[in-house]
Amino acid sequence: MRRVTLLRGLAVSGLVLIFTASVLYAAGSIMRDLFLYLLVAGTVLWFGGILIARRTGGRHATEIPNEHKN
Amino acid sequence: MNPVKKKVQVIEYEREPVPENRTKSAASFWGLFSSEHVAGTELLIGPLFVVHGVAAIDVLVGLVLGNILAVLSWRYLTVPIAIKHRLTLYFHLEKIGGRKLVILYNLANGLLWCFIAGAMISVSASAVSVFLPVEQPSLDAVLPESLSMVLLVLLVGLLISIIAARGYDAVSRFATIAAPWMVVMFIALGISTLPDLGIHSTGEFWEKANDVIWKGHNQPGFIKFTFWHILFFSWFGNMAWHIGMGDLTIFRYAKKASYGFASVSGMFLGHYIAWICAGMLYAVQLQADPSNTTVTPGPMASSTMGFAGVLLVLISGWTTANPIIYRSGLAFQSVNSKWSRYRVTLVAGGVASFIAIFPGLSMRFLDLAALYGLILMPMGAVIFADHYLMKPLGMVSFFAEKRNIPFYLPPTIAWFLTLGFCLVLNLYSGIQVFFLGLPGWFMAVILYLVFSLYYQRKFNQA
Repeated sequence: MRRVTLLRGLAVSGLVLIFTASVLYAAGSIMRDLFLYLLVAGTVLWFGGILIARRTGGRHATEIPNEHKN
Repeated sequence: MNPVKKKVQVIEYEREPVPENRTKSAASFWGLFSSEHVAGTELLIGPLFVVHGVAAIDVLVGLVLGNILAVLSWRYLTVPIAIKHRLTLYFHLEKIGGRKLVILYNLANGLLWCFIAGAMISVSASAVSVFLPVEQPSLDAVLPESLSMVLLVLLVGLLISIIAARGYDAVSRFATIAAPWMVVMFIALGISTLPDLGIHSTGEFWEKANDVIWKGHNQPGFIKFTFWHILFFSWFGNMAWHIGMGDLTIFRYAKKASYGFASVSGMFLGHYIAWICAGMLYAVQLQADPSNTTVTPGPMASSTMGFAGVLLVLISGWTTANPIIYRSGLAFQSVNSKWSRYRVTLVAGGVASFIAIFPGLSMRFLDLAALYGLILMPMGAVIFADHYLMKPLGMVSFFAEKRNIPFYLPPTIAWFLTLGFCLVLNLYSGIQVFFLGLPGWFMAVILYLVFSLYYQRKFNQA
């Protein structure tokens, strides 16, 4: 359970990283190359963390399947 | 101890009301809406507003008001009926008009879904095209312009169709996982365009919004959008789901009617922030090269967000196209349950892939989205009239079920005559497709009541 929580935390930190990187890039604090790397790193953290957490048995019981509309 | 995998039988309550103790929390609906309405389509809609020459004030205010009207439509039209009966849209329609009406509705829905899926296949293909020497279609293109793009679209369509035919669960689960990432990526997309647009402080936003992003000049061949276009498009962009009652199926799980307000999350994350961010992305492309007017999300996102942007386009297009093709297959299969779902889904995917090779579909996506809602909307008006107006007018609701009729004609007549009425308004009064939903809805209610009055009297006399 603790591992699942840790993995979920890691995943959320990926989203925080993406958001922070875009704010820093817009503010001119980081260069474009670093910004692009951070986006990929955040993406890997999110999908890696969530997918491994689910494999470890951390699927949320109340999830409703997603159906994208427009 | 090894975890024991249990096969859980999912009860969907397809032909019975959802029991009170199976209703879901408000949080489920807030989450569901925020993930459902941030999709690949947003990458077309935001830029197309710019193509149609909308002004900044019109888009920023029109979207707020239109989205509020959409939320109110869910809350006060869809949800009260959903929680009263707790039935799927299809079973509800069957009780009103009989089994054959549902088959007809499914055919129309299945075909329309092929068009939406086709647009999403072309969005996904635009992401893959970033890595290949493929010529992008021009803004005014209707027919395919390059063989390499056609082959790429067909290949992407084939892959998506095969995955859809193999089952819904895995893709649906992936879409659920991807949804929060997509929301954050859309926001990051908007923020990261700010330096390119010359916006370095909040004070500069308004000036650049007017002078650089939404300049108010429409591209040749595209009608000029006003405040009213934006308001009605954002209100009726999801017409099939709220006043068309498509979301009866979801909201039958709601405990209270107030859960309808959960649609705020989808409207303001997807149909406000995502549309605005996608519009800003297109403005960056135009600023870099004013002659590059094409709306191809892959190259646009790649230029701003690199590989992560390409992934955003690919995943948002794929996770939207996949369930739509799957559901389109199911809709066609309902005509004959003996047909193989796998094969029917492949055929639906094939149709969607064929449609996707025509770039005019993506470039005219706003018209397609408006038309999709308009075609299905009359059935929502029929459901509304059947629920609220039949009893006060001395008629019987759920007439097909109560009289055991396989095909009760008034809903179908109301449906087709309403579409004919809308066509006349469009052709002879010049009313654009974006504005036809409102008069069409009232016409459908009136026609259904008039023909029900006639048929029910005739039936009772017989």
